[in-house]
Amino acid sequence: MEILNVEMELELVDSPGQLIKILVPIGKFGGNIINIFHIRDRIKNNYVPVILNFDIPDINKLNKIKEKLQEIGIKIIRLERDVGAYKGHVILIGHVFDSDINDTIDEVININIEKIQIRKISALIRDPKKPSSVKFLIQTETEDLMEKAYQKFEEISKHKNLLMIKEL
Amino acid sequence: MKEFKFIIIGFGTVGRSLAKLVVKKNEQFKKKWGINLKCVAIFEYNGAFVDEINGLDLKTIVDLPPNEFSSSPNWKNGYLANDHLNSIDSNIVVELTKTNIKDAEPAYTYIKTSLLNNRDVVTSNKGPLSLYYPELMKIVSSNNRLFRFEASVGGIIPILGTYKNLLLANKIIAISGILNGTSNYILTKMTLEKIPFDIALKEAQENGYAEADPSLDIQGIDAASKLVILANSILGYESSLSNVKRQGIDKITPEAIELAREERYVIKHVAVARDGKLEVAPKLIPENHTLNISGTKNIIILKTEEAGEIVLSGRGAGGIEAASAVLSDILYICKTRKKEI
Repeated sequence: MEILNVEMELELVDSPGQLIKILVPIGKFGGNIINIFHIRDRIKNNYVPVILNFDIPDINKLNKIKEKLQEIGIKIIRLERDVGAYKGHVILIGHVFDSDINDTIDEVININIEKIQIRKISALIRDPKKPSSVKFLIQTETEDLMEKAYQKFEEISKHKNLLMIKEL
Repeated sequence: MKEFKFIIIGFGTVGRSLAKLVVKKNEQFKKKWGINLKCVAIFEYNGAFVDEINGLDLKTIVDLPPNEFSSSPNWKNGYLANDHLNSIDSNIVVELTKTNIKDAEPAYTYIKTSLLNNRDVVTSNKGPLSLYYPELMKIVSSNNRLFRFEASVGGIIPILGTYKNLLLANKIIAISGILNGTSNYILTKMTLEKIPFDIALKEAQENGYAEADPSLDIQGIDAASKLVILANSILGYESSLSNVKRQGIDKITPEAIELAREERYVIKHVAVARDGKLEVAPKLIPENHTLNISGTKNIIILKTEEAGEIVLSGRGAGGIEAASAVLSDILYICKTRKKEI
């Protein structure tokens, strides 16, 4: 599913009613606010830095929010978004740790370090001597890169004698 | 009234169930369609029942245990299909021997020689279809034969008939499904009862859902054979078993199922044919996905260009269910040939 997570740092005038100005366009274009932080120890010339963390359905909507904020005179200091849009899960079963899990992760993200991330790893190990089961959440900027990440997991699984289960 | 002489090769569960159905329904076929089915021979591995003139009395043969075959006046010990199949006058050969996935024999030879000798053929056997489909179809075409095999795929789901009779105006672009009841039963048990694979397998064996040697089911070979037949028949592929990318379910752990559950997924042994590729492998599918069926059921999804997805689901085959599919194929052949007269 295509959802972008965005971290945006802005400068707002340190007076009442300023925050709503930026929340309206974010809400209008489908943004879902997760956190808001006022960095009050960095107030300068009556401007307070504000860090917003929100999810947005796609890059076009994010661009529209940026345009709207600039239009109303809000200065965006920093904008970071996760690589992306496409999320997928893979479960590996076997001696995933003994066969060097770091190497597995590196091989996948090195396909395109800018645009592929392993966002989360979960493992359930009942007996260290037995095969482990490990779940990876992959995030990529494009569908094509997700397919490449799956292919890489598949190659590694073959090579390391692991069973790979991916989404249909 | 048109008489159709048929031969059964293989008198196991499906063969006997077929004989029972013919006994039960032949009068109805005579009245309804003017078709009289006459079984002239039943071949087993060590001999055959034969009556070319009057036809066999299936009613008396159907319940005979193998050690009493010789009590029948029609039993010929050592009279084997290899030597005599083509010399018996018949219209239809019904091939029901046990599937051999390594070289498809002896079914492949029986089917091929029957087609070459101008007999129409019905089979429930996956072996010849998953290993020699393109070759057999060339013989069918060049000899103007009819070759039907509904019972070879998808348990009792009438997938091939549905496609050939009802969906011809649709372009099918992909097929996905759960094609093996045993592996689905095991995964369902593991998911619901949080038990390891070997315990779920043992229970499946104790309940009669898995063979003593379960490798054909749990390694996905059975499902892969069915996928080849479906892809060749419906998508026009010319593939064989070796073209299927395949992974079994025996390495799946309860922990992996638990990790999947955290994301609202289940693990299913899914068969997929699309973009010229064939695969049978465990997959993560959303809990509310159509393919999330439980127990020994089979399900097939046809993805069409015009009509979206079409879903067919039903029980995996038992003797009588498979025999009913075989009998439907026999009747299709009879009705088609009768129209040609």
